[in-house]
Amino acid sequence: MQFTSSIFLFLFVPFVVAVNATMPAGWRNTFLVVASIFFYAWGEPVFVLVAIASSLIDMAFAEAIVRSRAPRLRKLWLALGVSANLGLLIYCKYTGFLFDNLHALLVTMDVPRPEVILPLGISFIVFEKITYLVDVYRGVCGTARSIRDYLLFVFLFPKLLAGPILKFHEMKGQIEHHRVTINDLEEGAFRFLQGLAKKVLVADQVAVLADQVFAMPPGELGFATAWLGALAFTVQIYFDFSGYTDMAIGLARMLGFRLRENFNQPYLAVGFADFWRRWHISLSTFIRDYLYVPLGGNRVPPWRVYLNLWICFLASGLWHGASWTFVIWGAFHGLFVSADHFGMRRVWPLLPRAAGIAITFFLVVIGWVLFRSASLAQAGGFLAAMVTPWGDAPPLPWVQLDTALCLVAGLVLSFLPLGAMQHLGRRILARALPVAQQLVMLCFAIWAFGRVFTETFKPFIYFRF
Amino acid sequence: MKAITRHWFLIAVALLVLAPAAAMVARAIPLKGPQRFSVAKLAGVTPTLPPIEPSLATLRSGALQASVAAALTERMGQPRETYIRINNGIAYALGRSTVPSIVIGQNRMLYETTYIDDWCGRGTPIDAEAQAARIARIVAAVKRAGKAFVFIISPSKVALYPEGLPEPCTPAVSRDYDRLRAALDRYDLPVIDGHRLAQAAKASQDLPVFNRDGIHWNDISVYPAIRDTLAAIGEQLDAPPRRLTLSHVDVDNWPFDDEDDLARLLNLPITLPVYPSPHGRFTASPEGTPPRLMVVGSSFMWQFLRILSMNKALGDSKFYFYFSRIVDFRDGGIFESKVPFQAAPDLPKTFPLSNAVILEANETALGSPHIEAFETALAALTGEGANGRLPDP
Repeated sequence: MQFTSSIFLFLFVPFVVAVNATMPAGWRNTFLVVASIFFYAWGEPVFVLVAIASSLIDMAFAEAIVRSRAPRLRKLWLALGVSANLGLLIYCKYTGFLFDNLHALLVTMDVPRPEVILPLGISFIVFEKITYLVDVYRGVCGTARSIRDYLLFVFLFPKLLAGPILKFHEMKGQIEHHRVTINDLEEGAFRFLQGLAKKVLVADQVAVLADQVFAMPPGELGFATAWLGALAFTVQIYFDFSGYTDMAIGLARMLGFRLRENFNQPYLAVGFADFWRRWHISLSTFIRDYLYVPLGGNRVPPWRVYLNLWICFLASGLWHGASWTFVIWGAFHGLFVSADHFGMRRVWPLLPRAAGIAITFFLVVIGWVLFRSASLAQAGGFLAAMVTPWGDAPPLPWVQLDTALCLVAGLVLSFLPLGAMQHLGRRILARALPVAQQLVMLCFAIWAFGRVFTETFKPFIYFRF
Repeated sequence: MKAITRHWFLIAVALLVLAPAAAMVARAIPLKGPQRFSVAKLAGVTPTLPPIEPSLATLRSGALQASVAAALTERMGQPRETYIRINNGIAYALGRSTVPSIVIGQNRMLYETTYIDDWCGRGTPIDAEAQAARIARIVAAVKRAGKAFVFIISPSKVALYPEGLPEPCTPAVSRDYDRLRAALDRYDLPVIDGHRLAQAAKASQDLPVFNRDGIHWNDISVYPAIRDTLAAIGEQLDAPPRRLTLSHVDVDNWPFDDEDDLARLLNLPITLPVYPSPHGRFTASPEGTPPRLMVVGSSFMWQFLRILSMNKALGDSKFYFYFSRIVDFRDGGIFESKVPFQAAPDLPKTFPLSNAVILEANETALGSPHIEAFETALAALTGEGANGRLPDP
């Protein structure tokens, strides 16, 4: 059940939000577990059972960690628990990738290519489950109060499919003291609609152009076309992902939970270290806390720091998808984050801020080409077109007005200092600003609802048939 | 009250979100108001919803969930319609059509992609020689039965107004139309070339021969085809048919019937801004008899037959829409059947009573299967030929 589907928006959400808000506090978590499992089972009717079983196993491991006195035994239980989760992720997500890369060897061994269907949201689910085991191991928090509470942490539907990646210690208190206020409902609804508008009205619109350009053979790509496609994807991925996150945060808020922010105007970053403090914050903090720090973090010799950074970013790339393009994308970011650590972070302040933003944005766009390309060969051809302004360039693809407007709006919104503008707006317009924002949001919501429904109605031309 | 106004935004959102579900509930209330609220009146036909088949296999594949979701969405009534129309209106204002097969061209001229593909040579070419031979066989069979025959090629809006296409393309060097026309010229057949007639009409006056928001010909371009068809039938029959003359053209702002069919298919929130819509006034000659026609053709024949019928220049006639559904022009009324695939069983009843047969195909769909289906049915009726193929002339 996608967030942008009509049954989710107009049946599932109103029902769940209304029941959750009105039922006795003691029953809310149970209700939400049932609703969340129903939500997941709608898309993954088989894997949901595996995920439930895996969650129960986590609880057993966590219990074993708590009960064990010997540090080595605790470490063993943790390693087993984390391995079980990573094993599940590797099996579901990377079996095909591994087979393809070991193809020659496995073919001689007469091993058929396994067809494993990637379950929805598995990358998020597994990482969150790992936070539980590690948090319990580190003593950051205790074990879940009950199976119900843990299942709610794992399956809470707003963040289930695309994050933000929750950490158990951040959610434990909220789950145990679950309450909903009318302000939660109102502010959550606003945030949800904001995300819906970003996803449906901007990202999906610009995606048409990005898909069109990335589907072109490299030979047909001119300099301007390649840049147009790259910029379209740059806007698409940000508005898609951050829009989805806004919806998740808004939904969770309506249900009485406050999720951590996942984006903070990433295209205003200066340097890649800054970019990762603004982009997919829940992933970068997960990798920092649960991979980089255990690897030694900054407390090791410089060469180890760089190695650790690279390991983290290769893992991050691979986490995004089982393909070499993602690995290279991860390495590309790892390279520039390492450069920041190596000394670039001292250079950035010497440059005008706008120049720092422009350079970082340029490199981020290059990275998105790697990310979006279906293969390294395509990425190579695309990047070659982006650095070849001369020659007989094929004409730009025809871009419809609404797509062009969305692209421009997306870029403008990406670079506007929205926080400062909000602050200024409050000073000038005082109480009128929230009302104006809400009115605008209602208009966008109606438009977005129309877009959602229009996808369900594509009439034939000969309506007399 | 104060608390309510303080949370007006939440209340507004709740109303917007709950309206579709309310429409679903209203369906169950047997009162006029709620029933109207529960029904969407959107123009156009969508694919039939997949049946809901609950089983472990459909649950695992997701087919069950998809069919349930589609069925529930379909029941969201008027709120869904309103949302769709609002979105379509915004898209239209920005120059985008939300119907994949419709595009908005220069000056808001609407086109259908099939016609563009034909004009730009993107389709698979038909076997023009074989199709011309088939039409010739049909003509011969109809004439052997003592009836008049006319083959009409109705025009394409894109072929008449290529200059309005949003993305210009290089026209196909040789379209199906050109090749079939050349092939038909080798037979001595009564062909009414609507394309040429519409081009002549376009060149001879200033009014549009296709309305901006429609895909079908209008009174200006259909009239020459009617005139020449009646003349051709008259030459073949002992009793000449009643003639029709375009005596006057009113230009108003109100398209009717299928003159703005593409705009209606866009399901916009408002009627589009006015534009010149020519409507003919016709005079039927007192002499001659209204012919009893058997018409096999496409949606282009609606306007053709409607004009004849409204001006009492049409006897009791049958229109076999794509040689599938039946439309009965009888006693001054039009009776339309919704049941498909009825033409072939009805043919033995209608064919003997008709004075003349009109076969029509649009210039973009000259390979349309209704021509072959008609030949097969005619061969079965007359007992001529073999394997659904009439004998060569």
